Amino acid sequence: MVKREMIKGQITNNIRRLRFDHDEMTQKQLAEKTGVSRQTIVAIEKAKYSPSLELAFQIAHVFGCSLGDVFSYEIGD
Amino acid sequence: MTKIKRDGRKITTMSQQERRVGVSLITTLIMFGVFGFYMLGFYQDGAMDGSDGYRLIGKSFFILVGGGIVVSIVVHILFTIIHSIVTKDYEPMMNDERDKLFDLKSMQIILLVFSFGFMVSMGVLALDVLAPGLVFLLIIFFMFIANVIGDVVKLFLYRGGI
Repeated sequence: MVKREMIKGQITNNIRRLRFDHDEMTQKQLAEKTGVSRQTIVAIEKAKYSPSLELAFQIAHVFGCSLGDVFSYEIGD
Repeated sequence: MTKIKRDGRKITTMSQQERRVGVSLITTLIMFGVFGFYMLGFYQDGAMDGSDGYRLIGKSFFILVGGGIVVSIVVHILFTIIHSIVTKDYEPMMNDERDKLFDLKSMQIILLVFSFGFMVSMGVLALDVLAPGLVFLLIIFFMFIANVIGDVVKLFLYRGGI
């Protein structure tokens, strides 16, 4: 029997830094631009919630960068 | 949500969503409390015996559901107004993807608990432990418990995230 090993990782993000680089954009402003609540942005920033692919692309679009520049996937041990 | 006060102290406040769930929880508790109080009164008066009792339970259930919808809408509107006055910050009540996910998870728990309660009620009926009229009330009771647990789970999800 073939054993499947699941890769375990964590999604991290640079939203806080990107907000700072974009004229210190507030969480509320980012929330308004992406059409979600401020609490959702807070949860994403703290890596407590992984957004949908669509929202992730929207966030990247607001900052004018690629998805990989905003989110990264770190594989654990 | 954590806020830092002027003196450097960190205080944890509830977000708008958490408050909304809290209000829903309190509304559920009050509604079912009033319902339970009236049903207990009917039971003690002996109004729930016989076929008239079933009709009374049916009527009361529809009043509970209908009244529940009206009360929820009124409380929701009042909460929005009071929240924006108190916090002096108008945030539109939106239901984004995170809220929908939490709603879904809460609904899953509600269905699970209610299904369990329904099975228990059928077991009680099969074993002839309680009168059929009281089994109907037991089903409504499990509906209440399921709603409370669903709201608590939602509150937990908002507090801790997933």
